[in-house]
Amino acid sequence: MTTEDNTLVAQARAGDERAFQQLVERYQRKVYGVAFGMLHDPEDAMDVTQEAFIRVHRYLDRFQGTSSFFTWLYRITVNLCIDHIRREGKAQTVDYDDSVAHAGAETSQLMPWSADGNPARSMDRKQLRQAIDRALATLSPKHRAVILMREVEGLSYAEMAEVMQCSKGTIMSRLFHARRRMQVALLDALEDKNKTAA
Amino acid sequence: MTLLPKWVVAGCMALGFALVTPQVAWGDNVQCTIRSMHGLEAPGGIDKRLAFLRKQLAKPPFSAYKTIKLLEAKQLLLPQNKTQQAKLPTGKILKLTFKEKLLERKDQLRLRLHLSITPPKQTKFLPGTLYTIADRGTLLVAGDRYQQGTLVVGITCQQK
Amino acid sequence: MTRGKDDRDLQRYFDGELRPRRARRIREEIEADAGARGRIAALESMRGMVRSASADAVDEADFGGLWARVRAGIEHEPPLGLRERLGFWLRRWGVVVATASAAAAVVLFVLVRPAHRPPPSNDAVIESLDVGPEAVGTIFTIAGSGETGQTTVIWVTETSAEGEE
Repeated sequence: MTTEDNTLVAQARAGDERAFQQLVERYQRKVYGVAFGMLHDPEDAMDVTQEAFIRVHRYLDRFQGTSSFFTWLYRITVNLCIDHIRREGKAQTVDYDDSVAHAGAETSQLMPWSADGNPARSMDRKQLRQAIDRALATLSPKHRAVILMREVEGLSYAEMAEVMQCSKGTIMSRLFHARRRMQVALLDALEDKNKTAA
Repeated sequence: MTLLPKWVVAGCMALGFALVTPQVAWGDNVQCTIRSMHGLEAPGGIDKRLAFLRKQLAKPPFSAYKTIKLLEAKQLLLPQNKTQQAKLPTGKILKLTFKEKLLERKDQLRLRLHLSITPPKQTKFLPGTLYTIADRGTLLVAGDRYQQGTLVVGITCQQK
Repeated sequence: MTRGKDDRDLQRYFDGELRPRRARRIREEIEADAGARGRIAALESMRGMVRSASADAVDEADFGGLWARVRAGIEHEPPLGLRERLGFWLRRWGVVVATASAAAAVVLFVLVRPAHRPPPSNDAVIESLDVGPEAVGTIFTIAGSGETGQTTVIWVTETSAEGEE
């Protein structure tokens, strides 16, 4: 935990509202970014962001400091998002069974992109954003969470394992398959775009 | 006989007036909780978190639901005449506006609010209702179908 | 470089999760393998896209009212129940302190009973009601008992086939 976070948490625990506000303002964009990536709805994402900070405040006394404050906050956020998705009945994808070894190299390999087959080069910013949003939507909530935590927030495997309360091996597996699925979805989006343009 | 100075008399009158007349010294905000509750015919009981509404939810027409579960509770802070909104589990948007505070019935505080519940950018379901309710009182709005059951929305507001 | 298991090494290398010696070896293999270089480039490209999309979404959000909402939510949250608090201390300090806390709570309750606050009235006055074009609105009250008065209910029935989103 950074020294500054340490100080703010201690002050917030002692009832310093201003310190807690600083924590909120420090992490609100990150929390919202994860929530939006998971839920794809600005209002739901803001609701979850609000609830995450309310929960943090409620359980601040229980925060032991053995993990970083941010990891703890992430855990709360990801769990709230998963609960939200399940409650809304929108979890249409089936969670990939990480415990089962998946054979078949041809379906489980990372792919290189050719020069004209690279979505980043062939789409404008708006199209890319839509393609990313749609690709993320094809992932299960847990796979979405690992992609966002790794690619956007740069959490390590160990930190992600702590957030999701699972082993590093499971995180690696989820990340691998999530990336593979995203690549397929993005290439599909590129193909659709090329067909429309033709 | 010594007459009291005028400023003493005036001060006493002002004090007496202040004691007799209820002084309204509240802020201009109202804090509201929007509770989304799911009524289902399958057995399951009333959610413990809805204990404050238990008596009402156990009576008709709500007694038709063997399960009433609290799905979510959202907070809205309403400055006067500024509409705030919350998304309901059905996807409809609830919009609430605090209009004014009223003092009536033996110093009971009441709040006047405008409520609407509609699909985004549409005027279906409940485009608007203007109502007054006691401070901390709960209005129930029901009837929206949701996942093989009915959504019941409780709006509880209190002065801040 | 062979595929399958090696792709996982590639991922770990890309994420900076390999020990230095292994990372050096993988880097040498990548430099000698155009396919591996292509896969790394694809991962980098995808990471850039995800970051860019996320940054755009966050930039569009308005955080102006968030602190006020959080603060309001905190004020409205009920304090942790005695049971929750006791459980927390039990985990940390054991049974002795929990017993002492329970005894203290009993003494406090006997000495300082909270003043009785009457329940609020749910009897709303509906001044106007507009329902949607294919809906019927009904206002009724549920009779209360004891200290609780009536509770007002607005029931909206949509007559069209659509209802749930």
